[in-house]
Order: sequence, then C-alpha cells, then structure tokens
Amino acid sequence: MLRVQQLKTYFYTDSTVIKAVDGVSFDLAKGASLAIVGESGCGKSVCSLSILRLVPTPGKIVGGKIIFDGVDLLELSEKQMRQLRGKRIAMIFQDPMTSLNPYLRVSTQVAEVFSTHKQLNRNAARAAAIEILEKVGIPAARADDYPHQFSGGMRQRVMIAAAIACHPELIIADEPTTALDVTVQAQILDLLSELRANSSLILITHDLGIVATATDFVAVMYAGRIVEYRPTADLFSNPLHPYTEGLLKSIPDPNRTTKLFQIGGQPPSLSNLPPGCAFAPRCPYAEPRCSQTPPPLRQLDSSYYYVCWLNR
Amino acid sequence: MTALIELQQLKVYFTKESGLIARLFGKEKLIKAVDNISFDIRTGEILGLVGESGSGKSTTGRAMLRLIKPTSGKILYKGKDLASLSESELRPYRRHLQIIFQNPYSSLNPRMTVGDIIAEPLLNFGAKRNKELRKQVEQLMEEVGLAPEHIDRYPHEFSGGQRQRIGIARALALRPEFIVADEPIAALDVSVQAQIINLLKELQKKLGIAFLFISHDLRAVRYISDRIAVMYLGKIVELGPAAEVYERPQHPYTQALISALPAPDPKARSERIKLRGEPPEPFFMPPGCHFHPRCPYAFDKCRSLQPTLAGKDHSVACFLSESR
Ligand SMILES: Nc1ncnc2c1ncn2[C@@H]1O[C@H](COP(=O)(O)OP(=O)(O)OP(=O)(O)O)[C@@H](O)[C@H]1O
Ligand code: SF4
Ligand code: SF4
Ligand SMILES: [Mg+2]
Repeated sequence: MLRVQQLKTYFYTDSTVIKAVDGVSFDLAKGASLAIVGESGCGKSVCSLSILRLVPTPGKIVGGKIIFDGVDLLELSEKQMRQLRGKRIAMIFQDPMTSLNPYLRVSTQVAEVFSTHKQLNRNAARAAAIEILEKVGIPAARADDYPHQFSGGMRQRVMIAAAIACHPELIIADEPTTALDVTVQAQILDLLSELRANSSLILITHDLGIVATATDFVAVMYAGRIVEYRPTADLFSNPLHPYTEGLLKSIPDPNRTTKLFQIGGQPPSLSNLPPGCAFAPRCPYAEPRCSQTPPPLRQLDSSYYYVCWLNR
Repeated sequence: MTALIELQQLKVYFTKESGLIARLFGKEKLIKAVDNISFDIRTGEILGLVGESGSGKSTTGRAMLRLIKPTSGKILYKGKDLASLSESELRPYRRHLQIIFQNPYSSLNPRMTVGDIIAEPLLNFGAKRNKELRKQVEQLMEEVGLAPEHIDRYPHEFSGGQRQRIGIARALALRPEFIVADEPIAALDVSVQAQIINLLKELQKKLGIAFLFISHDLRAVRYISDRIAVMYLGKIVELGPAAEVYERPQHPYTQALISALPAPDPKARSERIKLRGEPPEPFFMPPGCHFHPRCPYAFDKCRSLQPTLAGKDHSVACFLSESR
C-alpha cells in the first residue's frame, strides 16, 4: 500500500547540509501499523512530513520515491497533494493546539473536513462532525466549544475525529500522546486503535512500551537512517542491530536493581556524519571497518532488514 | 535511618488571577497545589515522587528547598523548621539543599563557561577564585563524567545529557545532603536517560546524598528509588517501599497508573484498569476524595469525606484500605 524507497530529505542552512532523512526505505501493508522509533532529532518527524510533502523550509526532498497506492507522491502536483491530505492520508500531531484553529469552534473545524473532502453541505457536515465527535468521546454539548476550553486529552480526541472522518487509507501520528499523562495516554491509544479500522498507521514515538503494545512493525531510526526494520514481536525477542539491542536493554526493569545498561556517548550531529556506520562511536561491537565503510543492508526476507557489519 | 527532612502538614496555595470582574468581586481562584502533605526523607535515601502533570510534584520539591514560601506547615531539616526562617536565616542551610532542573537547555546561563557555572555556588559561599577552585571544579566535572578539558567551553557546545551533567556537578559543588531532582531525565534521549539514572544512583551510594526524584516515568522511579510517593491533585495518596508500591499498589489511582504503563514486551497483554476522564483543573477540586470522579470503586462516603494517609510502612489514603 505504501512503499518508501531511498527517501532523502536534507536541510540546507547557511554553512551546512543536515541530512535529516538519508536513504530511508520501508513497505507498509494495508491495515498494518508501523512504529518509527529513535532519539530526538534522528529524523522521525521529517520522515513523516516528507510522506505528506509538508517538509518545512529550508528542507527539501532530494531523492527517492514514495509510492502510495501505486502512485509516486513526489510526482504529484501540489493541488493533487492537497486533495489527498486529510482525505486519504490523515495526520495527528503531538500538540493538537498547533493544528487546531484557536478561533473556531471544534465542531466547525471537524465539519470543515467533511465539507472539503466529502462535499457535504453545511448542515450535513455539522451533523457528521457532531456524530464523529461523539464517537471519540466528546459529547454533543461540548461540540461547540473552542479548543482552549478542552484539556490536552480532549483536544487529541478532536484531532482523532478529524483524522478518521474520511476513512483515510493511512494515518500518520507523530508522538500523539507524548504531551499527555499516562492514564490519558492509554485512553487515546485505545481510541486510536479502535477507530482506525482498516487504515494503515504510522506511529512515531520514542516510547518502546507503546511500540510493543500498539504496533505490528517497527522501524528503528538512527541518525537519519533506518537501522532495523522488523515485525514488532521479532524485534523485541531478538534485536539484531546493536543500537536496538542497547535501547531495549536500557529500559529499567522493575525486577532488577543492578546497574542499568547504558549506551555510552551521544548521538552524532546530522551535519557531520562519520563515513562508516553512524553508531560506531557508541557501539560495543564496533570493528575497525565499521567507522570507515558504510555497513551492508542485511535482508531478512522480502521486506525486513537490518544494517550492520555484524552478521547475526 | 533517621529523617533528614520532614514535611508536616505542608500546604502551598496559589491564587490564580481570573477575569477583572471576578477580581473586583473578590472571587479569585484558589489553587491548592500542595494540600496538607506529610512525609519524610531519610539520610541517603532516594524518594521517588510520581504523579500526573499538575499534581503538585514540582511545587512540593521547590517548597522543600524554600524556593517557594509555603502557605502553612513545617519543613523540618534535621529538626529545624525551614518554613519559619527568614531569607537571611535560611542562608547557611541553602548549601546543604540543592536542585537539578528538568530542562538542561534553559537552566544554564548561556553566557557563562561551564567552569564558572559549576564554581558559582562555591564562590557564593566564600570560595576564592584561584587555582584550587579550578582544580575543584575539574574534579567535580570528572565526578559526573565530563571531560575536565572542556572547563572553558560554553553550554551550547554540549549535548542535552552533558548539560544535565553540568547541572548535576553544580548541584554537587557544595556537597549537599539533599538534592531535589525535578524531572531530570524527561528532556533527554532514551539512550542517555539510563546514563543519568546510573549517575544519580552512584552519587547516592558514594556520597550518601538523599534525593527527591520527581518524575512521571514510573519505570525509572521504580528503578532508582528506595521509597515511592504517589501524588494526585495536591495530596499524597500512597507512600511505601518502591517494590511494594510497584508490585502491590493499594490505592486505586496507583493501580491505574501502573496498569496504564505500556509494557515493553509485545507478548504481555496486561489487564488495564481504565480510568474515566482526566485530572480536573486544580481549582475545580472535587469534594471528598479528590480522585472520586475517576475512581472505579468510588462509593457514597468518597464523595463527601476526605480519606487520610494511613498505615505504617506502606501507607494509603483510601476508604477501601481503611476498612480492610
Ligand atoms: N526547519 C528545520 N530547519 C533546519 N533543520 C531542521 C528543521 N527541521 C528539522 N531539522 C533537522 O532535521 C533533523 C531531524 O529532525 P526531526 O524533527 O525529524 O527529528 P525527530 O526524530 O522527529 O526528533 P524528536 O524526537 O525530537 O521529535 C534534526 O537534526 C533537525 O535539527
Ligand atoms: S556496523 Fe559496526 S559499529 Fe555499526 S552497529 Fe554494526 S557492529 Fe556496530
Ligand atoms: S477513597 Fe473512594 S474514591 Fe477515593 S480512591 Fe478510595 S475508593 Fe476511590
Ligand atoms: Mg519529532
């Protein structure tokens, strides 16, 4: 359904080129859910914004293909893209306040989705909006409130309502629960998985607990690249890339109080990447060739892989 | 172990400026950020304080250090009530009580070198700017895992994790007995969080410093703490040994909080206790047990009366536990 191939998105600033996304490839089947995990700044958001063709300046998609339902999105006109966004591909961001209009009633904003993409008239769009808001847990009595009258969790419900309104084929959710409290986070994740029905989902998060409970596949990103792409259960039971292994081991285990496993050092700067493996300076398995020559992509079967000199 | 610092019936109230009319008619909103809490922290102990945003965790930490003046109640530090002291009377105590902030980006002065940032508290307490001071700062840097060669660099030249280490070195400079660490890992990368947790634990062991470790990350709190206190809307609802609270939570809120944690294991399909709604705005404090509008077990009494924290080593504020 979605096939991303060798996607490259770079930011061009005065003196440097930031390779935020540097050759990312993955497939996502219809109805499946994919988590993209990785540290802050590793390119998760830029990757998802690229799929929507919403990369902010000075960023540019400089290479690759994004095949959505047989069509390369990078070949479409801006007008064609606009018809797609919100209808066939929907998005949910971390902070709903930045994507909701503070001056419009919540019902009006959700109704807009119906009038733009389904050509419903005003009354029909409003009725549809109220119905879908109720579905996400916002009572009709609150539908005409403004966003600031809602709590963070309720705003995120509004965003989910707008996102699922047109039964999109793909929903991209960028850290949808990071700003929320744990108990509310659980409500929102449940709601999302319940209501997305047959939509495919790309969920960006840095919380491995959410990955494990809410997604079928995982792409682990490090410094602008996917270093491991696997079914979630396989990745958790047997991580193959040393970075994935380190991440999983560094989660505090309530049954153990021995020293926590830690990955030493810091992630590299995306404007000054080493010639070989970007993880080499922190990798406990690094060999001399790791820092000199880019590691090979090791295909596990048709779609899954990891990128490392180690053959595990 | 004896109590190093003890809170007795501490209250911190804020008034929230509402609209002009409300103010003219004296209807200010009163926020009970910390509402009558009592607990102690023992010498060399790490007490984890968890709770959702707005529950009063940071206010508690700041009040303990007298960075905020409490509305009422006592803060006994080795038996001396800090709440009753004036700013000048507090000064000698300040060096024993330090804080580490959440945001390693905004909490360091960008125009000062790392060396000056770490030396500042020492200078404030009478140290002289000389070779020895520089040596001492270099030692502190080493202690927290920073390269002493970088002493003359500026904060922006460091990563988030390294900046958090700078903040820790500064807090350690005066060899305090107690440090409030307010969400010290929240702004850090996943792989760097473990580094900071290990460092804090090591400092506790090596230097015998007591910590109030404030975090919403229950797993990290369980890992690092000796005891855990759970806060909900200004009140401590459960307090006990870390393993006890995590493995056998007694308060319905703690139970929900722990069961809401997504397990990092795709095979674990846990039975989640679902809570209705969200924490109310702190100025619409529900009567009775603050948790009753969301509590799956609430009964009549909960809507009008407030349960108090009771129990010896593992204490709980809930009518269900009282009747057990
Ligand atoms: N508008 C911009 N101008 C310049 N660089 C940018 C811009 N937006 C993103 N970048 C850079 O692109 C890289 C990837 O950023 P991205 O936002 O995708 O990270 P992320 O993985 O989503 O991180 P986080 O977990 O913090 O959200 C970073 O180095 C970032 O600094
Ligand atoms: S290529 Fe080498 S340095 Fe990179 S992850 Fe694999 S073993 Fe480690
Ligand atoms: S006192 Fe009542 S409402 Fe409060 S937590 Fe206990 S059972 Fe629930
Ligand atoms: Mg992001």
